[in-house]
Amino acid sequence: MSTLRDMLYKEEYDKIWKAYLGFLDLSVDEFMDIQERLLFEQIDLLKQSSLGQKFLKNKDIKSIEDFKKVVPLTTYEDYADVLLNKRSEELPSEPLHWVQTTWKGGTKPIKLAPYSETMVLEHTKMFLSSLILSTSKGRDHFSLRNHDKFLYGMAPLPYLTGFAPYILKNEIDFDYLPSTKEAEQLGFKERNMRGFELAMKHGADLFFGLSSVLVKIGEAYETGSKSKKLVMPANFKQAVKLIKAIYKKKIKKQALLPKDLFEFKGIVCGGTDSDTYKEQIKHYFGITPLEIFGGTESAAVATETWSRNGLTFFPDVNFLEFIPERELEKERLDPTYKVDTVLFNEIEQGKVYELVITKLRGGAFVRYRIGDMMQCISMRNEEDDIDLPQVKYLDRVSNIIDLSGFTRLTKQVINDAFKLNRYQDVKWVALKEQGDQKPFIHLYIEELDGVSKDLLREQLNEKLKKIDQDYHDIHEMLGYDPLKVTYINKGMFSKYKETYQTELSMMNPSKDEFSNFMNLR
Amino acid sequence: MNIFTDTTLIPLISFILYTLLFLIITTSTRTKLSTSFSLYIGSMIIWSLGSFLMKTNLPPSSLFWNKFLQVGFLTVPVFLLRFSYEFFNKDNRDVVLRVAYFLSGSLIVLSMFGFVVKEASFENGVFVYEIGLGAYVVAVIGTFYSILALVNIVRSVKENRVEFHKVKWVIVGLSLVIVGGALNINTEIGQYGIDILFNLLNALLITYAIYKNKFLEINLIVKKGLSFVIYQTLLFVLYVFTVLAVYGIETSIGVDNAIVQLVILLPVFFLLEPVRLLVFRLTRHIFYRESMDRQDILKGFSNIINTELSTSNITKSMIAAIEKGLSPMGVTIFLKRENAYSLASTTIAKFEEEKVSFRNTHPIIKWFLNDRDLLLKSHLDNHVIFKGLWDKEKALLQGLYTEFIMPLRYNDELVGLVIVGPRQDTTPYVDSEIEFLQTLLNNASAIMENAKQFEEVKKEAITDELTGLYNHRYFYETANEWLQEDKYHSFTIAMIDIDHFKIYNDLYGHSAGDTALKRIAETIKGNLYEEDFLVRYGGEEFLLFLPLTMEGDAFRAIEKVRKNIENAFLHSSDIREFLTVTVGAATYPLHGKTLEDIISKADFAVKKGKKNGRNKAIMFSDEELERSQYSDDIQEKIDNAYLSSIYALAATIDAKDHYTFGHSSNVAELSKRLAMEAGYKDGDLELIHSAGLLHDIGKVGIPEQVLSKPGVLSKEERKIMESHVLQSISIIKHIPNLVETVPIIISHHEHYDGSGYPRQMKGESIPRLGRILCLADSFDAMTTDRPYRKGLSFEQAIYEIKKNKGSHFDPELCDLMIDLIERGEIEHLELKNRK
Repeated sequence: MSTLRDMLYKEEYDKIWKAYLGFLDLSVDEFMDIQERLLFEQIDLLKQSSLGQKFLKNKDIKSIEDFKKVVPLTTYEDYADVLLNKRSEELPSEPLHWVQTTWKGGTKPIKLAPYSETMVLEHTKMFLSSLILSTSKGRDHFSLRNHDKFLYGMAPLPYLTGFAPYILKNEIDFDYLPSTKEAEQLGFKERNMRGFELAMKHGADLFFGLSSVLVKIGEAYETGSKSKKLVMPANFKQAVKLIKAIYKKKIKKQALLPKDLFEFKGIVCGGTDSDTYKEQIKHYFGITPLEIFGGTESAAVATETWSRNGLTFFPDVNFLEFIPERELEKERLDPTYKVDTVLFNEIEQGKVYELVITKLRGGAFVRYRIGDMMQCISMRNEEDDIDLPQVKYLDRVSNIIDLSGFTRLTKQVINDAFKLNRYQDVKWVALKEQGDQKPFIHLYIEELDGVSKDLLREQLNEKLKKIDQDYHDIHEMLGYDPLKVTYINKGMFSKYKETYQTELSMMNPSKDEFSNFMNLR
Repeated sequence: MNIFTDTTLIPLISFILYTLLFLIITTSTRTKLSTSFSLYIGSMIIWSLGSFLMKTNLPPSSLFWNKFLQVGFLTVPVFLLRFSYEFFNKDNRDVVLRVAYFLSGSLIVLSMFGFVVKEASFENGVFVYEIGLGAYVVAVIGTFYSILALVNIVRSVKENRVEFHKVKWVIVGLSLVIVGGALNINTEIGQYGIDILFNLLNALLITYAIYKNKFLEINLIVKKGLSFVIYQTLLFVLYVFTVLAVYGIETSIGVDNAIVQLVILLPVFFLLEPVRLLVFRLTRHIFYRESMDRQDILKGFSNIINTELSTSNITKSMIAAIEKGLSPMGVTIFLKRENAYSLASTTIAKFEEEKVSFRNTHPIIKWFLNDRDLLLKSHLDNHVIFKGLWDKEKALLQGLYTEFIMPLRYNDELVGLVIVGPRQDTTPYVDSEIEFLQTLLNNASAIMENAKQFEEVKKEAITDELTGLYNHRYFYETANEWLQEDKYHSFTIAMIDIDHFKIYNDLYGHSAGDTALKRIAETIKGNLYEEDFLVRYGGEEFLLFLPLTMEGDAFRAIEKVRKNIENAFLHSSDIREFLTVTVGAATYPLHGKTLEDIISKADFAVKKGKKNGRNKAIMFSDEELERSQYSDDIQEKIDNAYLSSIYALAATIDAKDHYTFGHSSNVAELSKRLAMEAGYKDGDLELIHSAGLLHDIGKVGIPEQVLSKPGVLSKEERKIMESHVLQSISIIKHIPNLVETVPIIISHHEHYDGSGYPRQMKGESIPRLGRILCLADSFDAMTTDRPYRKGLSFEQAIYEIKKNKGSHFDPELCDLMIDLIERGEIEHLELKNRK
């Protein structure tokens, strides 16, 4: 197969669009045909592996219905033993890479996910699809080219995002800022800083990173806290940009924004709060970022298109199932309840679902709950003329609070913060809130005798920073304090239990639940 | 003025050849590459023409023509550079090229004012020119761009973007251009147009590279025109030379009369005819060779397949023709068989035996079902419909070297696919080659379809539809041929006869019987060697031909067949299965010299096996028969002992169920009497007596508390109780002598109106002996005493029978039973448990 590099050199733009974005022309039925075909390939592979046998139980699976009936929904616990010990011989295909991520709230500190060669290729292709789309203004149009200057702001190896620059080398010639060799020597923060420094000099075409990082950089420029070191432009275009910028700043005395210095063709953002930051990024960088949705276990799952109005699923990376909200509610009330799922062609507009994936192409995860909530926002994308249901990423499942893609706080982490401050049996409830275009964690705590609210907030903040490095990084790298504390009357939790005969969920209770709770004040 | 001098020769020849090249390129398929190349050639035409005219001193002046040639000369390097960019798809050409255009344009303007060549004129008939300062600038810039073009190509080779062997001549050519440009600075050498010569060589080398590697497709139409022009030119040169030579000779020997000269010349033209023909053939050969070959191939292919009725021969011829015409790395043909397209033939050895097929819903098949005529590798790689291809399928397509796939259609129906690999010399295919393949496939499809139909009809005639095995007719034809040919010096024929198949059919119906036959055929087939030959010989009889197999091996083989069937049916978890087979075998030439002999001996062995209790594998031979007789005697004794145990067990059941003591023997007696009344004789009477004795034997597995529960049973308990029928069968099916009672026992709780169990059979579909057993069973239950109630009187029983006549019981049997009771026949029977 010819690479994107070759096709770009040959200016075969139509061919590129078909190869990378042809899936946007699929109908729901065609999408399901691909899903079903590849699911059966995966079942075939699973049958030959001992991990697969564990789930398929030697049953003859002839239809998707059989598959749903026979295979239970799984979580990382079901794989931990095999994957954390890297027992390749038990997997459906030989892993080429083991990708790592943190396991917040898990029994071990990390999770590992195996990637076979085909999975790596598919993932690369999906990532390139998103990159191409980020530079697109409409169907069949894009401006991605070889030797585009690429500011790569994602986590390094062995995280999933760290593989991309290496894998992409076979596919396309990007000029990385900084070069991959230099980047290997730098930490996450330094790498981003160095990247922007080089971008000032050479200009930059593409960015892939966390939306929160982009906003932080935008703010730094706006407030003038960015270094005032003189930069020598490396080319004519960038020289003009810099002269214009100096004119704006020095003569017109206006605040400089990144868009005055860089002219990105495309910005691709991952991270859970991408939606929140979109407007700010547009303000700072002049273009709206394109959101790609994925994860370590699932790889790329869905991408936004040029209207940036809804995610479209990739048809050939994961077999998709969705747990409807009402099923989740039943499960919450009775943890032994076996939830039912719907398929991609059964999701309905406006409904909220938890995503369940079966990794295709020899992946390990089968009917796996990745812990992400999505909402189907429309049955087709009118603006972009895409005939597939469009979804929006909502958040992590409610028992985890994700902040800016940096950290995931669990009940256990918060309880630990109390315990380390020697507070026992504190009653609290945590909510994720959006304020001032940034996500916060808001703790409602039953008043503690002799401890002021502010002191408690400070103490908790300190301990959380210690327990969770990522939480610490939010303060450090994004420069804001995401913790809010509110004192509530004593006895409210027991009153709630008396009134509603059930405990209040401690993490992200539903709107109704929480308003009932607050009404007890 | 002499036009043709040593200095004008190179420019003139170059001009002619460039013009021919220009014609070829501009009439070829138009691409970015061909445009670039034609621009380069165009510049060279201007340069060489200008150079030629300049050196001929034709008006207006040499200087004028010099300025004319500068236009070409100054644009050649820049177009060469542009061509090098296009050739290797480099996309950063904009800035460099724009600068080059600008420079070249500026130099052209400057050259008009004598910046490059100050003076060019003829002095004493000798062409001289004086170069200006600009000539050095031009030489430097021109050489620089030529070097840049060369660097581009060398880099592309280094980066593995193009293979060296494809561009080696281009590299040589470009190097020559650079050398030529440098030599031009020297006016002594420059006057001969050495740079033009090197540029000409470059153009020829590039053309050769383009032609050889098919970077461009050169149209056949151009070839026709070109061949005509070249033929005429050669002919013209030949004739002129000959005429001049003859004329010279004539003059030298003093013949100066024009008419005499003409008379002498005429035969020379006749003498030249073979040479003219040779030139004609030569030019045709050069330009039409490939297409002529392909026409021959198509013709040859049509001749071969027109009379062919074997699909495999047609596919073979097709593959041979495609290989000859296209020289691909591989050709594979898939043909439609029922609902899938299966690999019929391939040139790739490792897939020859592979069983591969694409279903109708396969993306590749769907592609062609949507009326498409070509599927390229790039489609497979990039088109969204192929996203669902399995890795295994991708590997297969790769293994088959798939470059493109073409459909084989007949009357708009997709009847097959042809997968063609890339050309062996790795050059791309051109339209004419695709057209050739299309014509070939069109020619083949109708004949292929005919052959397929013929084969299907032929196959139907020799195949058993149900099992897909060959029928006995085909067997006789083939086996007799083998015998005549003496193909096998020894073989064994085994006759396999299904035991109790009629009972099975009666019990479960013919459709279940057919399914069982298919399963038995599959079971036997599953254990055969490739050379073995299985035939559906008759209704429930199979014939197995085991080549080169003598007695000992043969016995092991047939015993294995028997055992496998036993395992699949008799020992299966499905208690309704009780089929076994009896296999008899005889060996050639030991037991007979003709096929009929061997078959009749094998049949004899089967009969012996049946007689000895069925489910046997027996080799025909006196000794074996004796041995088998001996072992059969023992087996019979064991069976009889087994039988006695069963009867004892039945008695235990009666004893176990206190309330129905003696019930089984009563039912045996009653049903035998009723059967007699219904017209049954000896064997059947024995059979129903046995069935009566054993009908409740399954109750041995019913828990005591259910079996002995007084009063009404719960739903669950009733279910358990009803299971005794099937449990009875599961016990009885293992006793060869009793299998025949199965249909009777299994239906003794079936009601005439279909409300019974276990199979809710209705009316006449319930075996008649089963209906008799049912009535006898009920009658005994009604009339025997129970602890909680006394047995009904015969009158009351008659009332009950009448009440249930047609619902529970067969009306005709009810009448017979009532008649028996009323005649007092029942009272004479020895019945237990009644006062």
